[in-house]
Order: sequence, then C-alpha cells, then structure tokens
Amino acid sequence: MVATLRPTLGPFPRGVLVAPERGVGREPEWIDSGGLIARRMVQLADEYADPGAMFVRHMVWRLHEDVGDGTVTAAVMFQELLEQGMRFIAAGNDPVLLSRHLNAAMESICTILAAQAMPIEGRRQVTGVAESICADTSIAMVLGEVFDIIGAEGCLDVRSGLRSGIEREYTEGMVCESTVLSPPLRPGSIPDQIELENAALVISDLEVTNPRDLLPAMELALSMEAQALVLVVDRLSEEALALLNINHRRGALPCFAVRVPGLRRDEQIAALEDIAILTGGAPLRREAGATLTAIAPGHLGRVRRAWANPTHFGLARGNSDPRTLRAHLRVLRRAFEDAASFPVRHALQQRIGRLSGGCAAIRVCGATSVETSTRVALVQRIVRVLRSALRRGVVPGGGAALLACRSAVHADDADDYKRAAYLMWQCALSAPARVIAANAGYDADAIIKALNALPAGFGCDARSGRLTDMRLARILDPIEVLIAAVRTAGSSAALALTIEAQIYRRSPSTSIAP
Amino acid sequence: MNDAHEQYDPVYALVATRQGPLFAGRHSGLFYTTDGTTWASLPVDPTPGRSRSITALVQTPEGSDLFAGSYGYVVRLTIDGTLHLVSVLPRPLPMVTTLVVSPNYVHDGIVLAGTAKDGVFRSIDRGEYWVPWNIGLLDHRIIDLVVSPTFAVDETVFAATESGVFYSVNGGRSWRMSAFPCDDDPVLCLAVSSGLAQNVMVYAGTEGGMLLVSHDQGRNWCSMTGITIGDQPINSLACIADTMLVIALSDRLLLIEDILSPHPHITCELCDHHNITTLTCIAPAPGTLIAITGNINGHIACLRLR
Repeated sequence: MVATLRPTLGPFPRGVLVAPERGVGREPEWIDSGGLIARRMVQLADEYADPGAMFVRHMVWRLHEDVGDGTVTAAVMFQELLEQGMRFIAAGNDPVLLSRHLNAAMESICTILAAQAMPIEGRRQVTGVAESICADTSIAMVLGEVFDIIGAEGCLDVRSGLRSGIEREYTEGMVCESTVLSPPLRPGSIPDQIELENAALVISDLEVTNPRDLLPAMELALSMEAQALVLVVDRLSEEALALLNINHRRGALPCFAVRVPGLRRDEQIAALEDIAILTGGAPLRREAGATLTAIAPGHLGRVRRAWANPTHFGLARGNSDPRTLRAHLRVLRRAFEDAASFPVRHALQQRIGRLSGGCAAIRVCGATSVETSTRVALVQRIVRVLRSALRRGVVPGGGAALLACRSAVHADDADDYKRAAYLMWQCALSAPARVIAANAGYDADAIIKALNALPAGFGCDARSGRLTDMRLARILDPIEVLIAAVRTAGSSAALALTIEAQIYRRSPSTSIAP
Repeated sequence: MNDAHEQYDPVYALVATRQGPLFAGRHSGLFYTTDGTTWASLPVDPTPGRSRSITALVQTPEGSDLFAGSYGYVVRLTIDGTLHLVSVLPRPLPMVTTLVVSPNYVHDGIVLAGTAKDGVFRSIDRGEYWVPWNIGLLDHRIIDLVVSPTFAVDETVFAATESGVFYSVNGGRSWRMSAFPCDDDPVLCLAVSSGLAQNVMVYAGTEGGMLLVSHDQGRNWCSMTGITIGDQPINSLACIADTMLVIALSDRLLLIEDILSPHPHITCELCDHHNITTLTCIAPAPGTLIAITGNINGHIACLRLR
C-alpha cells in the first residue's frame, strides 16, 4: 500500500493508473493523490496482507477526508515507525510501553511544529503555497488570485469547464443552489437567466396551493415601493405559478420563485436564516404556523439585485443590518471552530462564505475527460489545503519542518523504551524529505546528510536540487496538514505495534467504505 | 467666493487644482471658478439640458483630469472643463458618494467609487467600465473612501461606512473588517497621512464626535489622545504634511498640530462656520495653510489657518 503511494510525494509526483471497472467503454483513472489511490485499493489478493493494507487504507483515507492532504507524508512516516518498532519488539521488548513513548514524543513534535508556523497573506504567498503543493504554475496563479480575493472563508465552486485550461469568475452577493419554480427557465432556453432590481423577498418554506395566498405579499411589496418580488418557497401549485407568471409577463410585478435551498431540513432552515439576515427580513416557517396571508412588512427582505438561472439564484446587496450580520458571522465562525466532523465544518464554511458578499468559480478543462477529472480533483484538493494554510499558517515545506522537529526527540535518555521511541521518530521525521529527494532523482542519503549540517528550515528544493531556506524559496506546507500527518502516523503506528494476532474470515466481506 | 448659489444647494465636494481652477460639486451640478468669485456651470449630465447633483469629485494625481460622480454615472473631464467620458454604472443605478483615484493612476488607471447603498465599484480603465467589488464588505453604505499613499505597493484602500471602517489590501477587490471600537457610530470621514515622516497613519471622524487613529494600516483603531472635540459630528478631515490635521465639525473648524507627538494641540479654532460638509486644504506658500470649505447651504469659504 505505502509503496504505491510513495512515488506521488513531492513536486515531481508520478501517478498511479487505476484499471477501469468492468464494462465496455470505461476509462482508466490517473491519480496522484494518496488519499484517492488508497480509496481505490479495496482489497489485496493476498488475504494475509489484506487486513494490514486496509488498516493503512483507513488511516490514509481518513486523513484525506479530514484535511485533504498529507496522506503520503503520513504513510511514509507510518511505515518507518512500524518497521523500526517491529525490530524493537522482535528483540523481546514490550509493545505497549513503546506505544506510550511514541505517543508522548508525538506531542513534543507537534509542539515544535506549531512553533514554526507563520501566517500567509496576499496573492504572492498563496500562489507560492499552491505551487509547492501542485507544481502547476497556471493552477497556482489562479488559486493565488482567487484566495487573495475571497479569503480562507470565501465561497468557491470548482468544476469542469468547456474551454481548455483554467478559468475563474466572480459573482457578487449570495449564490444558492436551487430550482427555479417560476417563470419557467430551462438550460439552453432563451432567456436562461432572469434579473430583478430593488426586489422584496418572501423568505419561507411554505407550500402555496391557493394563488390568493400570494396576494397579501404582492400588495405589500408594491406598497413598500419594491420594483420586483422574489419568493422562496417549498412548493407552488399550478394556479399560484400561473398568477406569478401573468404578473411577471405583464410587468405589473416582475418576480421569480425559487425552492428553498438545501436537501435536508437542517440545511433548509440554515439557508432561510441566512437569507433573512442578509436581506433584513424574517423567515416564515411552517413549524411556527406561519402563513402567507398573515405576512407583515417586517417579514419582507429587500435586495438591490436578484437573479436566477435554472440551477442557481443569487441575491446581491441585501438590506441587512451590518451589526446583526457581523454577530451572525461571529456565531457561525465560533461553531466552525468547535465543529469536529468534516461535513459540519464544510457546511458552516459554505454558510460563512455565502454571507461574505461574493463567490468565485473555477472551471478546469483538460485535453481528455480523464485529464479534466484529474485536474478538477487536484484543484479541489489544493483548495482545501489553501483554506487550511490561510487559517492556521504554514511551515517550511519539502519535509524541512519535520526535519527541524528532530531536536524535540533527541535520543540521549537512559530509558531504553524512550530512546527507542525517539530513534524511531528521528527516522520517521526524515522519511518525507528522503522520499521527495529520491522521487526527484537525487541521492537521498547525501541530501539528508548535507541538511543535517544546515540550520532549521533548510531543505532540498527538488526542482533545482539545491539546498535552500524553504521560506525564502516559498516552498511551504500548511501547518494543519503536517500536524495531522504526524498525529495520524504516530497514533496509527502506536496502535499497529500493539496488534498481537489477526483473525481471518472464511469469506472476506468487501466494502467500499473505509 | 459665493454668488447666487446661497439657497439650499449643499456643496458635496471641492477640488482645488494645482493649476488654479477650484471645482465644486453641488446639489445643482458641477461648478468651477478661476478667480474665486465668479462661478460657472459645467454641463456634465448625460441628458442634455438637465443638471444633476454632483456628489463626489476627485482629481487625478498628475492633475490633468477630474472625475465627478452623481446618481448612476461618473464623468471624466479635463481641468479646462472638456468632457472626456460619461460612464453609466451597472444597474440598479447607484448614488455615488465618494471617488478616489489610485496614486499610481498613470500606470494602473484604477478609480474607485463608493456608493450610498451599493458598496464599492472599481474601474481599471480610467473610469470607462465599472464593476461592483463587495466581497467581505458587510456594510454597503459607503460614506468615504481613501487610498494609501503607497497604493502602488500595498494596494490598500479604506472605506468608511455606517458601521465602521473596512480595508482592502488588493486594490478594492475584497474587503476586511477593521477592529473598530464603535460599530454603532457612523464614520463620516477618513484621512490618511503621506507616510513620508513615518508609517502611514489613518484618521477617522465619526458622527458621535470621535476622532480615531490607526497606526497599522487600518487593522486596529484607537481614540486620539490629548484632543477633546465634544460630541459634534466630524464631517470632514484633512491631514496636512503628516503633522497637521484639519477637522470640520458641524459648528467650527479646528487645526490640530503635532499630531504625531503624545501631546497634539489645537492651534486654530474658527467658530463662525456652520454645517460644513466638505473641506479641502491648500498651502500656497511655505508656512501658510488655507482651508476651503463648503457647507449645507451652498456657502463656500476660504479660511486662513496659518
């Protein structure tokens, strides 16, 4: 498993071609991300090696899910710790005691790593970090510009494009994925986008069956001198749709209706709350017994510009109270910091981004569909890593920060177990720099020996082969990723070393889930 | 310096050009004078025969051109009054409240327009095409904009809004909140030092009479110590030669000197000037300082401060 991942580390990664699933016309996959490679390796042919490989697969895939990078770094450190540890245990030593010392040393290493962190800001620095991750100047430059504008919390959509290369565009205001109910807009139709100015908003999750229920909202919007109306509802009956369409076509009250964004109920409630705060309105929720007939002026939100296309709608320059909006963002940011699971953090980050006043979109296209999907996956992975780098900071890259941590595990202690754990970490911390050098075609032993004589922060620039200060060379790694890699490798190796026996199933069950 | 404009005709903006003419953006349109007494109207409205309020004015750094903003459009004209360009802003039409030009305008052509409800619009082609850039700008009611004197290097812009100050470090394309101590006190004006004496200092005056200063490019703000102004709104500010600050309150005009020292002091206070809306300062000779003020009744005054 680790041997398959190893060639993908560093600025000269070699890819792994994954055979297609059975079927006519399926294309093979080309992958250079450790997490994705591990995901594809569902089962080894050797049933005795398979449980161990799946242990590593689980470790790598979980790290990929949580932070998006650092998987191969963790894998090579894990392998080094495991191999050294097995030798120590084979000599008759206790694995549990060794594991305790491995974990204790891991904490010291994380402290030294955190002390090396420095913030990044500005287009040039972000571009440098992106380039050190993907070694693709065009992608790095676009990401540098995009993150300079949207920041760590900004809303960013990455998907395949139609024109070759990488393109970016920016959209003002809040953009939500949703279905347009009225007027009928279909992809490819003309017009496929509707735009309204100075619109009032009904923010609700109600089902409107009787068209008469819409009249109070329409009258209220006109009395408040709104030039248009936007309805956010759960469902509209055919009769209600007809009423809106007639008013829209005649120009009496230009309007569009969209379904509440979000699939799950909690997503819909969150979207309604965000739209209400952004537009200065109040949501009408069916759980609270609200109806459209009882609508009051305070329920209507206001926006300067609203638009909708068949798949999205947008609201720009809402009539929000800036103080309420700031307080709401503070609450969301606090929840983001406290959230442990990736899906919750992702949802909160999307909400914060939507409220920040603009969205960016990146469209990636390659010569073939395999290249396009590979590049899209690469950009999505870098986006996650860059967000982390902007939030928590960066450390010298190319394994230099890990090499600098060897001072935290200096093996001069009298305790055999502690000394063994420290020596294991010494080897593991130099493993990523060693693999990067080897992957770039250099003599890894000679480079590590030369780096030992240089100050902390120096590493090998694999592109030129020179030993340099990685901070000055702008070869940087996100601190969050490295700490996660060290923790994953350390705790997984400590656990793996305590495995005493394996149990095999007669008919092994297979699962694509980690 | 006044004529028949002394009815309700607020002066929104003044520009004293180095070449001589003084321009005034008024409720009734754009006016200029070359002798200080006779004012002439400059027709800049895209609709012939119509005159709209000119709510913002700014001169380009090299002094050849002038930008004027109004409801829904920005015009560029030379200082001899020749109209070069009328640019309509994207719909819904915004009310321009303030205009700033990049100090590096000759090379980058960047002009920014602050608006009453629609945030900041940015042009990179000398005012021809405008795009709203409001990412991170949580308050779209822009009252004042200033650019860092070192904009060519740091691309820093500051925006005064009804709920505090925002700053941009990428030429106005995205915005961040400042740590502003009073977010319920609208910021009416900003001023920035030239940065020649020491770091760039940014000053902010609020409706509640607070005078604040930022020593770190707008990230953090604190009250200016040693100066008591009262609770009158600070309508306009001008920073002169890094060491002097001219403050237009609603009932008087103040000159504060030694603003970089721990004990700045008021050296001139002119109390018979009310409801000043805008202010510009000129130093015609070494040691002299003249403030030109416009007020809500359309009165334009020339006041010697030093």
